[in-house]
Amino acid sequence: MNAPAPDPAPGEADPPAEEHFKPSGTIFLLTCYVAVVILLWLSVYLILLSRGVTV
Amino acid sequence: MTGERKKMGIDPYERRWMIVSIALLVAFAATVGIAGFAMGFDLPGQDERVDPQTVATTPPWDEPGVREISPGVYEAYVIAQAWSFSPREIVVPKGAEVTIYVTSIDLQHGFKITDTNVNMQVVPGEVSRLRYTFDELGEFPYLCTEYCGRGHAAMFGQVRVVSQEDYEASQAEAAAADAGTEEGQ
Amino acid sequence: MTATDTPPSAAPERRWGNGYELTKQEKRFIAGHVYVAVLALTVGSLFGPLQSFEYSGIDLYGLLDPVIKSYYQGLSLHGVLNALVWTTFFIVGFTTLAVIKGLGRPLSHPKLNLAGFWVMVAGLLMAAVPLLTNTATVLYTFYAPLKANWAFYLGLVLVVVGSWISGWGFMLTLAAWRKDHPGERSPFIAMAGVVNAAMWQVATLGVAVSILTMLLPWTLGLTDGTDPKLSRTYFWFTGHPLVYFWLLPAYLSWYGMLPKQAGGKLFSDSLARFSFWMFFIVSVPVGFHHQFTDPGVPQAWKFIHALLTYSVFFPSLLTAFTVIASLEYGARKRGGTGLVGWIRALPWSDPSVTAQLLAAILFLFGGVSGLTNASYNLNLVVHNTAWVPGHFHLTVATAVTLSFIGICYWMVPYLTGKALWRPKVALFQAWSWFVGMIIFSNAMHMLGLLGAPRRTPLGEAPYTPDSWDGHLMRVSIGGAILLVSVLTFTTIIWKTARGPAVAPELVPEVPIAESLRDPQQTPEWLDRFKPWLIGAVVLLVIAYGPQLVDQILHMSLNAPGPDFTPW
Repeated sequence: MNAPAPDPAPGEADPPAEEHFKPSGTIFLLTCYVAVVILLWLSVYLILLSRGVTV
Repeated sequence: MTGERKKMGIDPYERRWMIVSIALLVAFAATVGIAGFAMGFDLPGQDERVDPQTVATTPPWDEPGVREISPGVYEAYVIAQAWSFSPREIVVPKGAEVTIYVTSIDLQHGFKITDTNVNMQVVPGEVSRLRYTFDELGEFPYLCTEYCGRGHAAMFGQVRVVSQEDYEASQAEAAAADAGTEEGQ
Repeated sequence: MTATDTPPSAAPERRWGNGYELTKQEKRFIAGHVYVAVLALTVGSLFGPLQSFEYSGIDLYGLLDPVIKSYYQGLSLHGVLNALVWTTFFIVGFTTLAVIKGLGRPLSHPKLNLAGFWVMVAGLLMAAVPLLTNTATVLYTFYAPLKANWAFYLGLVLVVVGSWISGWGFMLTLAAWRKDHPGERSPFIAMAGVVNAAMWQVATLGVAVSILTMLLPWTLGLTDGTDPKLSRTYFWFTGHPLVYFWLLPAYLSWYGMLPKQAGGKLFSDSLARFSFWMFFIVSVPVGFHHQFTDPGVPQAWKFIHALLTYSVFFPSLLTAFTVIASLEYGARKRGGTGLVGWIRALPWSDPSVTAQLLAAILFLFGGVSGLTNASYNLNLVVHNTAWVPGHFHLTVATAVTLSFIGICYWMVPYLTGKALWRPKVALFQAWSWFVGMIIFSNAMHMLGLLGAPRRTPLGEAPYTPDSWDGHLMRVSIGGAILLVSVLTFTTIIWKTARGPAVAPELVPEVPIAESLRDPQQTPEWLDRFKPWLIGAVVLLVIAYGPQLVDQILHMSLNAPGPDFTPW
């Protein structure tokens, strides 16, 4: 799954391999983060709704 | 567009992340926009300006307090000064729709009614206004939320929401007391 | 590609001027900034815990009576020293290093930068006198008509002007480099530092105009009063970009240095630059989101600023991706595996890295509460409540401050030629800040949602209900941990600076991250000031012009404030 692991040699020799590095961990963490953002934000939004309109 | 993306060397996953980010922000903006402009969860806006040095002697501010302007509809004028609100208590019946006007005669203050969405910066020279309907019985303290000197922490008052019967009883009592003082003079 | 004019073999030399070694004078000059900054942080942070102890009824201010008169004098010192002095001095010093090292050349006008430093010091001393004599107990927002001694305002102006002068020095140095390197992309860390300095020049116009045209004449007795609404508008014109002025140097490190320290590379040079330009154009025209509950500002303008504030959130989300991906790249190079397991392969034994990683983690949560603040009507729930200091203790007091602390852990050894005193203690310091701030900040956010006002001694306030007690206690516990943490930091810096000189190979280098892609491939429009400057001005005129004109035309200086000293 993780492509760039096999060559521990100095990476500067083969830039193409680096270009194709897939940041799978980053994608996973940020997906979780978006969920957290929505959840926390919505919790305050629900407090707003529960406290009545202010026209 | 694609050419520019290539030139910038944007990773395809990062590009997707950019799309997700924008979608998230657009969704939030739409949600608050609808709540603000269609559902009535709105902020204070532009109201009249006043002279902070004379406002306390100018009607209607010379008699701060709450009054009924039509059945079930009230307005409350509140003067903030270091370090008290006048009036200290606003009594309304359950279900009252109250338009609250607040101004300051000295420093900036804050006016936030606990457990409601009424939350206003109070700025000398300006009138802060929000309308709120009190549907729950109970006591709702309003606190000064802006630093205004050494008495700031003790600057508060409360809205007391009572049942219609209690409200009418207290109004009658107050009227009787008024009449009493007038007779005594 | 436009890069054909430079032969490919030239690429290694272009690697950000690593070859240039700073002179002793340059190092001493930068270290001077850092020491003033650390002193300010130390003194300012002594008051924070006193405020937090007051929340659970332990008021130690009585013990300080002859020196410090009140909770609010302490709070004013805490805000000014930590949010304004520590940040500004550190940023100017750190940017000096980034410019010199990034460009690989000395400052083009070192006397200008020297003048900038001393003007800042003069301003600091001038503002310190009224602060310490309790004649400027107006908190760091100095909302009119709170009336401080005139020296406070003039001192602040001098600090800002000094930072402008240093900024001109950075810009001239970059211009000189560009003249010598036509067609080359300017090195990222230098460009990032200069972008921040340039944004700062635009942003501080608000507070400069406020002080020079309204507050100083009033405190000197030339006018009778102020226009408090206009002064708020001026203040927040500067007040919000101020947070990006703090944040961008941390981003500079996260993008341009931290990947190197973690054994990786910058994931995207283009997007790093793009983020900085976005901050350059949208940092300033967002100030009304601090005035959502203000009277006298139409809702439509508030909503427009809400949308613009959302658009500043975008480059921060980009930063999250680029920085995490850069770290993941480094961690996998170091042998890390798994979807999240690679995180353990980051160099957690390096206090500089750990401090910055922990800072970034808490910033993710600071971002959520910031997004909430900016969300138009959601602000009704949190405005002027304890939520707000809860929020900015995650951002300026952690994302920024703990990052700067992490930077100090390599920079002070680098500047002094010493070894970092007890790295294990430094690790403890970083973790204790992280833990203390989680406890403190979470409790503050909860208190805010319950309606507790900010800037208020809640231990003394008559309306504080018993149901807040648990949160108030956690605020105090967090404050106590943070007190230990900040004193540990000061000790480390003190011991490091006074330690014995060590062999050059034991002194850390300036970590400068390479980019995964040759920066020369980054499009040229991401390395030019002019289009972005025009964009910034146009956006500013659209977003602020009509309201500023309206408020200035209707200005009335009829608010003199109370006729007694309110604190």
